[in-house]
Amino acid sequence: MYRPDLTAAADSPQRKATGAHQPLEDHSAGRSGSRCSRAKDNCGGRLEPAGDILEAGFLLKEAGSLVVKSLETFLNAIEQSGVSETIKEGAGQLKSHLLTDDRIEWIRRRLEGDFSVDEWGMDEDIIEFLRPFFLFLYRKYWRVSVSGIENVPSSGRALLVANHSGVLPYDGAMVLTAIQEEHPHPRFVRCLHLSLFSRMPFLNPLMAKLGQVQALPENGERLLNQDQLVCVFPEGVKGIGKLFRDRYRLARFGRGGFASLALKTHSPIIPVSIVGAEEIHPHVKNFKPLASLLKLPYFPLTPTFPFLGPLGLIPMPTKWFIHFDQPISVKDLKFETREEPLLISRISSEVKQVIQANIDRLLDERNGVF
Amino acid sequence: MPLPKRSILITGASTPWGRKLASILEDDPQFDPIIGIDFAEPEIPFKRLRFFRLAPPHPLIAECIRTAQIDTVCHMLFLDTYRYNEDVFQLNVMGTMDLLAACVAGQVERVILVSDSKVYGADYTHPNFISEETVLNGSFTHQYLNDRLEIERIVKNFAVRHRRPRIAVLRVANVLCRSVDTPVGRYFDSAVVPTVLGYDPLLQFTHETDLLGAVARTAASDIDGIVNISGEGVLPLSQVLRIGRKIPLPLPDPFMHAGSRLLKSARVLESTPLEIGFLKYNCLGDSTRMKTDLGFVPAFDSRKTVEDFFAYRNARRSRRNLAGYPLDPIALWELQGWLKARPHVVRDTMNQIREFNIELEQHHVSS
Repeated sequence: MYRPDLTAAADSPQRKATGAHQPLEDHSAGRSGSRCSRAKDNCGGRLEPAGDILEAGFLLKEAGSLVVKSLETFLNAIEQSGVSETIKEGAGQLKSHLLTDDRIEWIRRRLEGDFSVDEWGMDEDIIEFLRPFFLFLYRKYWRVSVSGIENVPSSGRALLVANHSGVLPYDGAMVLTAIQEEHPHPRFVRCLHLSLFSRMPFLNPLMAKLGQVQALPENGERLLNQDQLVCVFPEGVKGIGKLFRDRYRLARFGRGGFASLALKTHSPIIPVSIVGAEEIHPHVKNFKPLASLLKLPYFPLTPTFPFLGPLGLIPMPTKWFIHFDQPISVKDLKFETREEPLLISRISSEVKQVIQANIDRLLDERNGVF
Repeated sequence: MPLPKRSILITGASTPWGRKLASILEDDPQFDPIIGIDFAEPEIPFKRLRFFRLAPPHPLIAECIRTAQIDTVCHMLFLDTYRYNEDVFQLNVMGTMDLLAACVAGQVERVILVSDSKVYGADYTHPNFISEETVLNGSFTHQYLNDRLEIERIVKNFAVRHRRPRIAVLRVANVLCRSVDTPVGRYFDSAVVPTVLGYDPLLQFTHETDLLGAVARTAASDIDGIVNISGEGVLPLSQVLRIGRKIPLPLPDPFMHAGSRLLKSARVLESTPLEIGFLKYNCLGDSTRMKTDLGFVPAFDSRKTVEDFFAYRNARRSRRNLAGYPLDPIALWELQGWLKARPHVVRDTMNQIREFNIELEQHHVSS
C-alpha cells in the first residue's frame, strides 16, 4: 500500500537523509548497463551485518570462480611437487583440458545469468553441453543408421510423424541428432512430448531447455507457423509404454490431431519409422498398483528395472534404424469443410500404414537385435 | 485533421500508476477534459487534470461522469495487500462493480481495466502461450489474484448484459518496477529466494512504463476486448535469480508452504510465496494481439525489465550506494508502505539512517 502518510518514527530522519540527495531525475533505461561495475565496487571485503545481507548473493557468484581458482592451484601444486613424472604430466594435461579460457568464461556467463533462451525456453548452452552424450549414444551405443534423410526439407515447415517406443523418450533425441548430423543443412527439430513429462519434476525444465515442447495443438500450430521442423509421436503414451510382446505393432494414432494440424498449417507430413528402440527397455509387465500410486500411466517392469536399481535404467545397446519416407503434401488438397473430418481420418490411417510398412521392411532387413 | 477530443476519467489518480498515466495523457492534446478521482489527495499537483476526492462507491461519480460527458474511463484504482483485507476487497471488486454501474448510467463509450496475466493460472495443461480466449477456471489463495479474477468474472458477466460501455481489459504479465511494490517484486525481495525443487518455469516481465504506455495507447485507439501485454522474450526463473544475484533455495513441493513459513519466522525470507503453481509451470500470455490489433511495441523486453528492477532494488538496499542515487518521490510513498509491512526492515533501515546522518555530520564538521 502506498498511501502517502509518513510513519511518525520514519519521518524526520528520512527527510533529513533524502534532503541531502540529488534532485529528482527521470528513471529510465540506461542505468542497467552499469550494474556489474556497481556490484563489483560494492563487493570488496567485509560483509555488513544488517542491511547488506544481499552481499551474500555476490559471494555465491564469486564461489564459482573460487572453485576454478582452487582447482588450478591444486593442479599447479601437483605439477611443482616431487611426485612421479607421469602424475605431473597427467595433472598438466588435465589442467590444459579442464581450465581453458573458454570454459572459465562459460562458467562465468552461466553464473551471472548472461545467456538467453528462446521463447520456448530452449537453452543453446545446455544443448551444446549435452551434445557429446547424445553423439555417443547415436554413433557408438546404438549405431543409428539413417535412410531417406533427403526427404527432410532444408527450409520451411514440415511435420515429422514417427512411431514411439522405448519406455523413455530416447527416440525423439535420436531423430533430432540424426537430422543435426546427417542432413546437408542441419536443422533443429522440435519434438512434441507428452504432457506427462511436463508434470514431472526435473524432466519438465530439462525438456524445455533441450528445446522440446509439450504436445498441444496450440503449441504445434505456433511452431509450424514459425516455419520450424516439428516431430510428433501420435501414439503417445500407448506407444511409449507398449509391452514387449506388442513390439513393432503401432498403437492407435491418437485422435488424428497431427493430421488436422498439418491441414491447418499446410505442412507436409514426413512419416518416420524407427526400429531398434523397442528393445532398449524390454517392457515385460506394467506394474499397475505402483503406477496408480505414483500417478503415472505405467510403471514398467523390465528384466533389469527395478531389480538392479539405478543400473536398470541403462538401456540395451541395440542397433537402430531410422527411415524418413517421402513427404505427403496436404497443401494443395481441395476440400469442403464438411469433408474435413473424413479427410483427417484418411490422412491419419495412410500415414500409419506407411510407417508400419517401413517398420516391417526394416525388421526383415536387419540381422538380429544387436 | 485534428483528432476528435476525448473526455477521459482516471480513477486512482493519486496512486503512482494513476499519477504517471495522468502526466502521459496530459501531454496529448486530444484528451481534453481529464478528470481524476481517488480517495486520497495527490502529493504532486497536476498540469491539466481536474482532481476530485471521490472513491468508487460514492454516488457522485455517476453524476460527475454524466456532467462531464466522459467517453473513456481508465480504471487504475487497485490496491494490493500483504494479507487478506475485507476493505481492500470492497474497494477492488465492489468498487469496480459500482464504477461499471456508474458508467452505464453515464453512457460512457469505453472502460479500460488493467488486469494481470496470472489470472490464467499456471498449469501444465496450458499451452506455452495462452491466448485471450482461454476460459479462466483457476482458483487462487492470494488475495491479489483472487480480486483480479473476481473482477474479470464481473466484467465478463457485465459484457453479456450491456453492449455499452465496451470494455478493454489489459492482462499485463508480471510487472516489475520502481514505484509500486508488485507481488512478483515482493517475491524477489529477500537475498534467499525459495524455489520449487525440480522446476524452472519461464517468466515474462513487463516494465511499468510499458504498462502505462499500453493503457495510454488503448485510450487513444478504439480497441476493446482482452489484450495480453508483455515485454518481448521469456526468462527462466533460475536466470532471473542469477541476474538479481539472489540465492535460490530449492524446496520440495510438499514442504514449500511449511518451509517458507519457517524461514520467514527465522527472518531469512521477507514474504512467503503464496501461489506455488507459478513457481512450477509456465503462465505466459500470447502477446500477438498487442502487436497486431493494439499496435503497441514495448520499450523494455523481459530481460531489460529484470535488469532495471534489480539495478534499482540492489542499489536502494545497499547503504554505500544510496548516497549517490537519486530518489523518486513517488517511489517514496511506496517505500513507506513497503517498510510498514516489514517491521524488522524498518528497524534496520532506521539504524542505517542514523549511521548515515552521523557520517554526514562528521563530513560537514571535517569540511
